[in-house]
Order: sequence, then C-alpha cells, then structure tokens
Amino acid sequence: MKKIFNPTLVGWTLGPIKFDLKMRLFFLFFACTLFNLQANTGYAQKEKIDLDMKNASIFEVIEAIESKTEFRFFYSTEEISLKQKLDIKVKKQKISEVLQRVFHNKGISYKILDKQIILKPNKKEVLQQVPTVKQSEIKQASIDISGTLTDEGGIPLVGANILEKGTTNGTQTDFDGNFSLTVASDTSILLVSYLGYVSQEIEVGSQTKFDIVMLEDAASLDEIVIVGYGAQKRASITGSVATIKSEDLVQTPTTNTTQSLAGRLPGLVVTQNDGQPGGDQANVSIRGFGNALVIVDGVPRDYQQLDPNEIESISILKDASAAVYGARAGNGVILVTTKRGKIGKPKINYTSSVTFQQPTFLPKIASAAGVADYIQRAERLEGVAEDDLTYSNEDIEKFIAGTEPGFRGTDWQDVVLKDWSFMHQHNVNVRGGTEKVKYFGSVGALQQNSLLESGDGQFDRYNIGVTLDAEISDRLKVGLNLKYREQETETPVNVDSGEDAYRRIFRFIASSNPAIERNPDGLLTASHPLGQSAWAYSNSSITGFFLDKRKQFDLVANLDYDIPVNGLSLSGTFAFQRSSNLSRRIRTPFTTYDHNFETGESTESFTTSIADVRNANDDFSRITTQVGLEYKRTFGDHNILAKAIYENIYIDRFVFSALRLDPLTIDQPFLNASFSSSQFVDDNLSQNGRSAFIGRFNYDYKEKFLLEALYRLDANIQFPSDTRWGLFPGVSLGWVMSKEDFLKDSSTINFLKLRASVASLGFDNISNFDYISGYSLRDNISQQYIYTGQEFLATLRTEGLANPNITWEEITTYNVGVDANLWNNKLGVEFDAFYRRRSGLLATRLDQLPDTFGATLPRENLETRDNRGFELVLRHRNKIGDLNLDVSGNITWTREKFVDIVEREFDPEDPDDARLNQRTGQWVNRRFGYRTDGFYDTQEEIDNDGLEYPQLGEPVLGDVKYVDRNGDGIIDFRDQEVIGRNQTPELFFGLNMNLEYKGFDFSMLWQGAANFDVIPNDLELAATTSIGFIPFQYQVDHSWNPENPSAAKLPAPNTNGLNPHNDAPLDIYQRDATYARLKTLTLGYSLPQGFLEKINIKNARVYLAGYNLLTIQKKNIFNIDPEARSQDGIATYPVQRNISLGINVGL
Amino acid sequence: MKKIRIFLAVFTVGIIILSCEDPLERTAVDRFADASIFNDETLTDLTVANLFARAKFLPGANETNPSRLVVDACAGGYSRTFGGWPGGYQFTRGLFTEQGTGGQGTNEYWDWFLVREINEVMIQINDGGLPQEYKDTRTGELHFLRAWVYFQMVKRYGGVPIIREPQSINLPLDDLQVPRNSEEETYDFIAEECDMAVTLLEGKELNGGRPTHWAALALKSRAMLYAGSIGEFGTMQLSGLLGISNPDKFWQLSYDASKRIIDEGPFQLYGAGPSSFEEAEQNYYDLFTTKAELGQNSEAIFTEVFIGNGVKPEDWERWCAPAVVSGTTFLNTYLETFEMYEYIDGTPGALDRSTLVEGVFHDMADFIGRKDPRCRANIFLPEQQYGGFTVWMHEGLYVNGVLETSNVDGVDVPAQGPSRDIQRTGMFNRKRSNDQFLVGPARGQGGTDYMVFRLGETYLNLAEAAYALERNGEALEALNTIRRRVLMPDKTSIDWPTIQNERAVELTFEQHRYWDLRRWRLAHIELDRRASKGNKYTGVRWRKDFDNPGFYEIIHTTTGTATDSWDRIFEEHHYYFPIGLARIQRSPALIENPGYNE
Repeated sequence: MKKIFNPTLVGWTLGPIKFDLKMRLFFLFFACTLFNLQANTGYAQKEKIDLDMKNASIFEVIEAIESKTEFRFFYSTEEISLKQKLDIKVKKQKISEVLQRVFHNKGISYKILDKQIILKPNKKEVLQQVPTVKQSEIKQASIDISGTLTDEGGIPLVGANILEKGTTNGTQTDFDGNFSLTVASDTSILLVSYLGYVSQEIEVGSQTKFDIVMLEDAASLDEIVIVGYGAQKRASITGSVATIKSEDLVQTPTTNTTQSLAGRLPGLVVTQNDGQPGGDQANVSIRGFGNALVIVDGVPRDYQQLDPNEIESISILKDASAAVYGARAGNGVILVTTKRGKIGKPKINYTSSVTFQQPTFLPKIASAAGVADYIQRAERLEGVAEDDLTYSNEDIEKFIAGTEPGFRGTDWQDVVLKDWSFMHQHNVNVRGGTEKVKYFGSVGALQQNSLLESGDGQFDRYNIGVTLDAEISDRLKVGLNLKYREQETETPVNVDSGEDAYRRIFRFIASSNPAIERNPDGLLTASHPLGQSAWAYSNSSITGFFLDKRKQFDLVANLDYDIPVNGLSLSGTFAFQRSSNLSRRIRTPFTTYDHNFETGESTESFTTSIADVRNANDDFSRITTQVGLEYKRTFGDHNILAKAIYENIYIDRFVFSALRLDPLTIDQPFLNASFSSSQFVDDNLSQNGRSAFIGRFNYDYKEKFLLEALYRLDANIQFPSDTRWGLFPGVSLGWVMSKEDFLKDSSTINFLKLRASVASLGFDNISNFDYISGYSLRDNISQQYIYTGQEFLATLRTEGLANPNITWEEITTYNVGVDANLWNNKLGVEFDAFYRRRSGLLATRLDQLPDTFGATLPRENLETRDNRGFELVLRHRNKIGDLNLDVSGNITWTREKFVDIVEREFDPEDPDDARLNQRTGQWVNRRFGYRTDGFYDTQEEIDNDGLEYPQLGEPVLGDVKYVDRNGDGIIDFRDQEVIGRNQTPELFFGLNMNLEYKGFDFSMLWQGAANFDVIPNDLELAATTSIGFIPFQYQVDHSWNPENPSAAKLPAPNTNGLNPHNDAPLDIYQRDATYARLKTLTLGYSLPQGFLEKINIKNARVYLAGYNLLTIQKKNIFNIDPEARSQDGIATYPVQRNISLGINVGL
Repeated sequence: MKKIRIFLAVFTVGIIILSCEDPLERTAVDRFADASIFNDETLTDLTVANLFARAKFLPGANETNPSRLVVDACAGGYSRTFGGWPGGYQFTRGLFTEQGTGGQGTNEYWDWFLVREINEVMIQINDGGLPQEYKDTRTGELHFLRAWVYFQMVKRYGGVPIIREPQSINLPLDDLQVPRNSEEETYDFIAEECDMAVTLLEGKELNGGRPTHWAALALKSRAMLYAGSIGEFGTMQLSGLLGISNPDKFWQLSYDASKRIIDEGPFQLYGAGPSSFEEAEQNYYDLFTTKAELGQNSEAIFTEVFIGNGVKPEDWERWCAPAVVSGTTFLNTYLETFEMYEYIDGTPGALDRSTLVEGVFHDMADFIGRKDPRCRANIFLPEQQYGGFTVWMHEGLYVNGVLETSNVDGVDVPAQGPSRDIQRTGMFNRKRSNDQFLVGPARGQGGTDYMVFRLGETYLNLAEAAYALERNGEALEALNTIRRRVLMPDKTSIDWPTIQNERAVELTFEQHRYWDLRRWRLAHIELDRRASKGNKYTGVRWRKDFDNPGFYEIIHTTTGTATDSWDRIFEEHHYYFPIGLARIQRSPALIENPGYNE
C-alpha cells in the first residue's frame, strides 16, 4: 500500500473551466457541491479501533490499521522512515488518539482527510526533540503533557507556539490545535503565544491535559500589518498606518468596496454622491488629499470591484510610510491585500445575501396643482395678461380636485421609478493548506438592478480568485495569485454626447410635467413640455441600450529564494494585468404624443432622431516587474532588516471604436446590421513607462527603539529625461515607552509608543507629456475642414508651448503620533497630527500673459499649498459575562491653505480686490457670496431702498434684497464676503460599536462629516419653466408668494428660472450640510455549535443588515442627500439605502 | 531539485529580459514632429485646414450648441429664438459691462491663438522644403485668413494689436504687452493682407473651401466698406484709436475691389432673368440651399463646405425647419422683418396694423402673394411646402364660420398647426433651411454649404461705395441689378435708406444686418427696443378660413412671447465691444473702449 504522495493532488481538483456566461451559476453550484463532499470528515470521527502491538515498527502499525479500517495512509518513502519501533495498546479509541500515540515524537506529522491519512516529516519536532530527549534523560522527573488550543469560538488554532519558560523546549500545535510536550517539572511554566491573541503563561502543576482558550488580543499589537513592500507587526510600526480587516468589509453587503470604508479608518475621507448600478463607488481620499495610489498585492491596480470576500485587509499609508512609493505616493497609499491560503484543513465559507435598495433621498417634485400655481405666479409677476396665462385659476382647481379627465395629473417619478430595487450577492471560498502548499480559492457573484420601473439598468459582476503558495524546496517559495473578473453594466440610452443615461432620465423626471396626464390610449406620452418623455428614456426597448462588459485578468507571481548566506534572500515579482472593456450601444428613435382629452385624439408631439450603433473596445495592459534583495539579521538585541528592490512598470492602452448610423432594428445591435454609409472609427494608442530603485531599512533595539528609513529613486516618462528621476527619502522613529523599566509593570499603561516621521514624496499623475511639443490630430467637428476633393475629418494642430522642465509635485509630510493601550488593554488610543506641504503644483501663468501672445503657457510647477490636521481613535474592548463589547470612535480634521499661488495682479489701492481675490495665505475652502435681507415685498420697497444693482440687474417684486456691506448704496462685487466653506468637509467622524452576546452579534457604524456647505444649482433653486423644467415642491412652497410674502425662503418664481438679480451665491441658498449617518447596522445570530455539528457545519450565521439607514442633518428646505453633488443634483442617480438579509456558512 | 533550478532560472531570466526593455525609452506615440509636417504637402494641408476650420466663417456651424449660430439672426433684429436660453439671443440684451459682452460671450472673437498659429505656420511653411508654388498658395491663403481674423476683431473691438510674427516667450513682459493699433491702422493692415493674398493666389482655380484671389478681393470689398461707413457715420474717439479719419480712401478701396470682381471675375448672379415671380422665389431659395454648393451656382465667390450627418455639420436646418420636420421650430421671425419686404409693385411693405385684428380676413394672395419673392424665400409663411409637407401655421380653423381648435370630421385641414409653429411670432426663418436635410431634432446633421462671399453682396457693396463717392448712377445700376434678379421694379433714385433696406432684404440671415446697422451707426435706434419705448418687435397669429380658401384672419400680437423675452438694449457706446477687465488685467497695454470704465 505504498503510495507516492504528490502534494499538488491534495484537496480538490477541477477540470479546465470555461467562464462563459451560462457556465457561471452552474460552476457556483458545482463548486459548492464539491466542497461539501470534500468537507465530510464524518468517518474519522465515528470509527474507533483496538490495537495491541509490542515493539512493532510504524509500518506494521499502519498495516494493522489499514487492515482493520477503511483508513488509507499516504506518504513518500523518501521522506519518511517507518522503521521506528513502538508499543501500543488501545481499546475503542478514535483514530486521532491512536495516531497521536503512534507518531508522538517520531518526527512525523499526519493529517486526516476523511479516510485518507497523509504523513509528512515534521522537521521542527525532530529538531526540537533532540534537546528535549536529552533533558528528559538528565532530569528524571520529566512530565508528558498534551492539550488543545482553540479560540473563543472553539476553532482550533494551528501552528501556535508552546514554550517551556526559560528553556528552548517547545512545540507547535498541529492541524487540530493539539500539542504535546515533555516538560521538566510541575513547576514549569508554559508560554503560549499565537499571532493576534493574548499570550498566556500557564503553570503546569498536576495537570497533564490542557484545554487552552486563547483570547483575541484587544490591542492587536501582534497583528501583522501590510506596509509598503512588506509586512510589520503593529507594535513595531513607526509610521501612520491604519488598517481595516476583511470582517469589517463584509459586515454589510455593499455593491462597491469603497462604500464599506466610510467611517472605519481614521484619516480616510469618504463621500458618495452617486448611486447608479455599477457606478456607485465612493470617493476615497486619505486625509482629504487627492487621489491616493492604490496597490493591490504589491502592484498598482484597482480594488473597487474586488469581491470583498477576497480581501484580507486594507491598509492606508499616510505619512513617511508611503515614501517607498515615491513619486506617486504624495496623496498617500491604499494597500489592499487579498486572501491567501493558510495551513489547516480546507475551510469553506459560503456567504449569500439579498438586498433591497431604495434612495436615501428622492427630491419631491411638485404636484400638478403646485406646478400650475407656480407657473401662474411666475407669469402674473411677469405681467402676462389673465387670458394668456398657461394655467387659469379654474385649471388649478381642477388639478386639485383631480377627477376630470386631463386634470388628473401624473406622478412621473412613480411612473419611471420603482420604490425598491434588488441586489444579491454570493460568494463561496475555500482556504487551507499544508506547510508545503497553501491555497485559497473564491468564486463570487453580484447582481444589482436599477430603480427603473422598466426593469432596465443592471449591473452584474463575477469574481474568481485563486492563490497558491508552494514551498518548492527549503529555500525556494513560489506564490501565484490569479484574479479574474467580469462585469457587465447595462443601461437604457438615447443621449447626445457628454451625458450618461441616468443623468438624462433623472433630469427628465425632474422636468416631466405632473400636470400632463398619461395617454389613455397607451401611446408614449410627451411628459416633458417640449415633447420629451422620461419613460421612453428609461426603457431600453424604446430608446436603445448601452452594454459595457469589462473583463479583467490579474496575475501576480512571486518567488522568494533564501540565499545560502545567513539572513539574505532574493525575491522576484512579475505582475500582469490585462483588461478589456467592450461596449456596445444602440440608439433608436421614438415618437411621443400629446393627448387631447376633449377630443380623445392623440397627436404626434416629437420624434427623436438619434439612430446609431456603436462598438468600442478599450484594451489595457500593465506589466510590473520587481527584483529584490533582503537582509534580515538579529545581532543580540539589535534587529536589522534591509531591503532593496528594482521595479519597472510598462503600461499599454489601445482604444478602438466604430459607429454606424441608422441601425435596422433594435434587436440587431451590430455594425453590419445597418445600411447607412455614414460610419466613424476611432483608434488610439498610448503607453507609459516607469522605473524605480527602492530601499528600506529597519532597525530596532529590543523592540523598544525603532527606526525605519526609506528611499525611492523614481522615474516616469511623462517627465523629460533631465527631470524625470527623483529621490524620495523618508525616515520615521518610534519609542515603545512601555518597554522601559519605569512603565514595564504599570497596571494602567499596557502599551505606549511615540512616533515621529518626516518624508519627501511626490505626485506625478499630472502630466501628459507636457514637455513634448509638436502637432497632433484633432477630429472634433469644430476642427474638421472640407476642401472640394479633400475631406479633412481630422486636422493637425500644434500642442502649443512645451515645458521642458516639468516635473512632479513635491510633497513633504510630517507626522507625530502616540499609540497607547490602557487599563488592561481595555482602552486603546491612537493620535496623529500631521502637516503636509505641497510645492511645485502645476499652474499656468496664463493670468499674467497678455491674450495677444496667443498661446497658453505650459503648465509649470509653481504653486504651493499646505494641509494640516489630526486624527484620533479611541477604542474600548471588554468582556462582561457573555457579552463581548467593542466600541471605537475616530475623528479626522483636515484643512488646506494656499501658501504660494499664481495670483492675478491686484490693485493695491483697492482693499476689496485683495480681500476677495488674493488667495495666498488663505484657506482653500472659503465661499464668497452675498448676505441677504429678505425679499422685496412691495414696489415701494424697491423704489425707496436706495440700493443700485449695476452688476446683478435691478430687482423686481419678490427678488432678493441684498445687504449693502460697505454702505455705499451700490450692490456690487465689493459687497461679497465669506459666507461659508465649500462642499469639501473638514471634519469626518466614525463611531463603530460591536456587541456579541452568546450567539447574537450586533454592530452599528455611524459616520458623519461637518464644516461644509452646499449651494444647490440654479435649477434646484428655481425651475426654468419656459424650457420645460418643473419646480420641486419646496420651490412651490417656499418661493416668494404675494399672498404671504413674509414666509418666503426663495425668490419669486420666474419662467426663465433664476432671475439674474438672484443668480449669485447667496446665504439663503447655502445649507450647512453637516450630517451624521447610520452607515451600517447589523444584527446577526450564529447557530449553536451543538446543532451544527449534527449537520456537519462548522459555523453558520444569519444576519440582517442595513446601510445608510438613517441620516441626520440640519433642517433645511431642500430635500437633498448631504453627500449629493451640488453641480447636477437633480440629475444624479440617488445614493442608496440598503436592507440586506444574509447568511454565512462555514464548512 | 533540478526542476526547481530550471524554474528559478526561467523566472529570473524572464524578469531580467522584460526589465531589459527599458520602460524609460517609451514616449508619446501620437505626436507629429514639426519637421515631418512642413516637408509633406498633405500634412501641411491638414495643418492649414485646422486654422481654416477655426475661422468661424459661418459662426456656430461646427458646434452643436445653437448659441453662436443664431447670433446674427437675433442680434440683427430679424428674429428671436423659441426659448430664451441660447447665448446668441441673450446677447441682444445689451449686457455689455466692463466684464465683457454678456450672453455667455457668444459673439466674441478674440482668438489670438488663431493669430499666433497662423503666424507660426506661415513661417514654418516658408522654412520647409516644399515647392515654391505650393508654399505661395498656402501662404496666400493664410494672408487671406489673417485678414479675415483681423476683420472679425476690428468690427467688434475697434483697433487691435497688429502682430505679424509669433512672439517669443522669452521676451520681457513689457514687450509681450502689445498696445492696440488704431482702427484705421487695423483696416489698413487688412487691406494689405488682402492685397498680399491677391498677389499670391492670382490664377488659382475656384475650389470649395479654398480662398482664391477673388475671395481676398471680396473680403477687401466688405472690410473697406465697413471702414468707409465708420468714417462716414462714426466719430473719432480715444485720440484716434477709434474711428476712421479718411472715409473716402476706404470707400474707394472697396469700390475698386468690388469693381474688379464684377468686371473681371467669372461670377454671375444666379437665376437672373426669371420668367415669373414664382420662378424668382424658387431660384432665390435654391441659391442658398440646393444650389449653394460651389459649381452649382455662378454667384459663389468663397464657400465653407459642409457635409452633415455628424461630419463637419452646420445646424441651421435643425433650428429652422418647421415642427412637422424638426419637432421644434426654433427661430421665429418678427412681423417687422416681414414688413421690410416691399410689394412687387415697389410699394413699401409696412402694414396697416389696425387691420390685423379679429374679424378682418385677409386674402393671402394679396397679403403674401404680392410680396417681394425674396420674402417668401426667406421666411416660412402659412401653407408653404417643405420636404413634402404643408406647413400649417394657423392656431384655429373657421369651419362654417365657427373657430375650431380640434380637428373636424370631413375637413382635410387640421384645426391647428403643430403647437411650436403657431406660437411666438407666427413666422420663422426659411432662408438656408434646406429640405434636402430633413434632419429632425438631432444636432450636427445639416450639410448645406455656406457662401461666405457671393456676387450679390458685391453689387450691394459697389452700390454703397459708389453712392458714398457720389457716383449715383453707378450706384443705382448696381442696386437695381440685384432687384431685377427677383423681378422687383427698378429704383429711380438712390439714398441711404434705399441702400440700407436693400441690403437688409437681400442679405437676410447672412451675417450682415447686425454689423451693417452698427457701421451705419443706426443700431442704437433700430436695435434698441424696449417696453418703455413701446417699440418692441411683434408677431402675428394666423386663423385660417376653411370656408374661403386663401383667406386668413391675422391677429397682431404685441405682448408675451410674441415679442422679445426682454428689452433689447443697444446704447451708443455699444458700437465697440468692451475689451473687458480680465483681458486688460492680463495686458495693461490694452486700452478699454469708451463707456465701459466710468
């Protein structure tokens, strides 16, 4: 029964898989089933055997077991010797007990996989065994002890260290968390430690069996944190690094990973202002800086559409810790690490959730009567004769009654939108491995529907990930990380360029007249006064569709080689990303009809004429190569780690598109299904390249004094060869005060570390070959020209002046911080204060060059700005009886100032000019505007107020009355002052609470922002009814009304929208958008273990979760989400509130 | 272990090989180097074409936003837009301040990029190695273009800095800040540039999109006419920076250029000698639509060529066509424009408005049938045919003496025209609206070529310059040549109002009226129309009498959207656009025009 053990065959295998659309769900199902089969460990638990053998070899014992049971042993005769002799006598013992005895101290480890038992050499045990044996010979009174190590949930901990205190005698737990050790005496003390758990010291005493439960380390000082080009223990980090773990990311189902980050990480600024399926990522920035560099598994990549179940952790590097990323890292670095295999039996996790989505806020559009009233008021104020009014008083009464045909009105929002949309998400993953081979595999699927009643608008995503880590020899390790993803976004579409479908739909909902009743004959209603139809635009079968299919493949291969020189190792990484974005769009015409309710006839109102079909492909590839050398040694109390890496990045992008007019039918969205001779193609190629030399040096003395030095030499071809190389050094220091004698035994302070860092960084994502001049092709219609016989649909134009000296922005970051754990680790505190100065920001001197020069100066590295801010995290963990409590709160404040700005020239004699226009030395987030003093309620008030408005236009009844700040009787730019901040919040906070009681868990995350103001856009302030816009209810309710002028909050309605007199940033328009939001709320219940064991399930949890459930903001008349964009608020797909029901099952 | 070593070796070598392709060797792949362009005729053509594409011969063509396209039709007082939003219509509000011209700047022409790039390309062509004849042709075209650009600027701002070579960025700021040349110097420069173009381009074949020496002469004829009239009617201001001191010099230059085109050029008025008024109307309509293309008519001197269907499009059809085609009639013509056209017997077109009331029915054969053929060719009036459709414009139909607004069984005429066609002024722009391009509401579809210069204008230029130079007989003859083409009776005497009205009706919607009124210094009278003055433009509502075919009840409308959405304002200082605070801040050497900085 000798069989050669082949490590690659362990676990499960799958044939070649084709991931075409139809196969996906089948695969999911298939994988589940397969995992279930593999996970059945029932036999080993039930079967009990008897043995009685003396001086038998292991081989003989194995044969005996094989003959009596269905167990079969697998091993390699080259690796394992089975000649060792032993005595064994057992009666009705479980196989695990038997094997424990057989292989105890034999240098062989075993693993039970259902009916298979795999044997492998256990080197550590052998190595450690030698002194143990010697000790036991010397010390007669040696004691054999054994036991198991589990976490609080009873899950065995694999590979934990058990050491006899004061000796080198120790062992590690096996796959089942078991250990056995021979210790010197009953006074020996066991030191039990495991990463991420509180270490314990246990006196042996009279016990020989130990069931040790390890508690998770509240302070997570031993937690391994991913940092640039490596990983470090939390306790020894000197920079400002924050981390979020996978558990938090998957707590509440969200459609985009970025949404899960809000409120969780100190220093991370997250705002979400769009909710459309597939396009609902939040804007994430570190400390309010610009776009951060994103690194996934060591190479630049995107992370937003990764399945959150695949993510192990996300770290953000905020200060000098980012310096290893040099010229790209000035705005900080987001490091995403995906899950890899772990030693242990295959652990299978299945999660599934269904989510109902609903807008957080939906603007309330006026009723039919409201619209009629608003338009009538506007027309009356404009002097339209009673007979010419669009809506008479009688009409309004009929709308209010709403019974007469033609006057029943329509709620277009209700017609076009559903109350709820639906999303579901599934993931199954398996994780496990042996010391030689570790693996992780994951398959996930997500499907999100839109709010459209038509059923159109959908986002699907499928993620597949596999990682393998193999120890090929003692010195060589190879890792492979494959990720594949397909996502598909479908939207109805019929829009001119420059607008997406949802914007068009929401804009047309907001301009569909509720006073228009739907055509009773079923013909498409012209819901918009200019004949348009919001319903048509929301419906693929009427208007055409846009289908965007993205396929992305990522491969990261790593190699680590221990050079046979003490402490030295070599590493290599090859990463390849390839994505292709295929899009297909067809747009077809449609006709709308007006219905005359008196005659019962429908007449043609409007026919759109857009008819084309377009196909495009955006093909992207990026190759990253890294070769590195590492040296790691300990000299007494001095620990040293030095690393050097050489990195190259190649980027290639190819974009191709073709369009043809007049497709034959909507059902054939193909270029060849068109008879038109009009067609357009576009073809574009671009490339980029980077090189870098990276170095890192870590030193610590007794883990007490910590030093980290980093440098990077970085080059990017976007800059000219003279200025493309830059050196970016950073250094940080740490002092773990709690290791000093005077604090060592403090009962209050368990851990205290001071940190300080300074670094030079860059930001290079700013140039587009600004140093190269020359000519380029322009194919915009405004640059096409036709000669008879020569049709130049693209022409050549100069690129203008080049800047031969352009380079990256230079950023210097200073950071000081304190980490502390107090009162038995019950309270954790982290505080960071930072200052960042950016110089060499690109700006043009345009404002100072005469127009007649005829060229814009190229952008130059001219301006300087700085940021300052702080972050504070407080965390409390406790266990009260069966209740586990974990509460943490964080707060971030950040604000930016202009230090040195290209200013236009000032009139030094004019104090207002400088006050309003000079930016140097001022905060960036200042909003200038006018203060107001109510409205002009009577003509007399206008005539007698002694104010002139030369720049704003004279007021009419119901217009805004401005405050004459300088008292000169003239309202002009001089009367402006700072009336607010702007749309970027200064202050962010998050409050996170987790409770666990017996099987129940409850978590809640509040997130909020403060110190920012929003001004809605013109249409949100006053509807331009003359071109078909319709007021919101608040405009009807709050615009100036001659019947009750004192209640007005907005100026009088005007058919042309916001009157020029009122069209300025005014205090009455501005709202303080400070908000607090119940970002997530989760209530979960884990099924009892006893019950689960019967059905062979390790753990199972059901939960109910909410996202964006509740928003608290200051009272204002606008019904708008605090995070919504102000620019095109009405046209934005609203941010969503989610309610989810989910399960997690572990096998 | 062997396998491992091989694997290791392959992996390492792989990385090294990849690393050997130095990423820093890469560069921008889509740039053309200067040297490669100016030694290649096609690439040079492409570069010159870019400059011509940006010249805005037909303002607002090449844009899908109608704002600039409607400027002249609105600003010249012919029409309004259906909705008030296009910047070109907003422009009529006279929102001129020290900040700029308002109306989203749609009528600005401050394109110094174009000037610089023309200057640059002229030098580069000269330095390149292409045949001399080729170089001369392109250089001549660029002189024409530079004259065009300066003409666009001088007619707006008055004198502007004359810059003949691209300035080096290394010059001190003081040198970069070039002061304004006088208006007279600028017109001299335009004349000089036109002459240069004439010299270099003489003998070149007429070709769509390419200026010839005739085009240069036509430009000179027009520009010098402007200078002459500004000298005649304007005043000298800003110590000579604005104004023309010697109008006769410019009248003469214009006269000479016009004369040469008429006498020596290969051009003839299209459709001369029609047999009926109907034929005259059809010919005149065709000239700007189906026959606008160079070669299709004998009148075009220089055309901008359009294709349509999203490629080099012009959007005139999209904004003019009646609702039955476009869905959205957009450019509404005022009753006052209709009135500019005389009757075929030469009597003035002004109406007795007291007859435009309820209860009075008009015989359309009389009301519009006896108008100058150009009237119906230029304005959509009831029951015109367009693209196979009848354009109904009545808001109600009298059937058996009852005004119906809902269709009546057995009556083959709808009770109402499409709602967009019966509102506002009751008429809309027709000239240049080509029913070959039934474009519907989509933008960027029209492809009717645009005559930048045509012989018709040259005759009128000649008439005006000759009259100013007191050669009345010659002036009268030139003017009557234009009238005869549409069978309008000869004028027997000539004066300024006669010349001015003939230009208004002949050159309707061709980017002349607004500028003509300015140079004649009539704009502050003609284009200043306010409710307080009681002179706002007006429109009509049509009600068709089904019982008496050919009869309409016509109701004069003077309020609401039939007139302007706001007061039209044109004050005396508006004859020059403001340079604007921002531009002056960037170059303090520029002096602001009068009236903008109190």
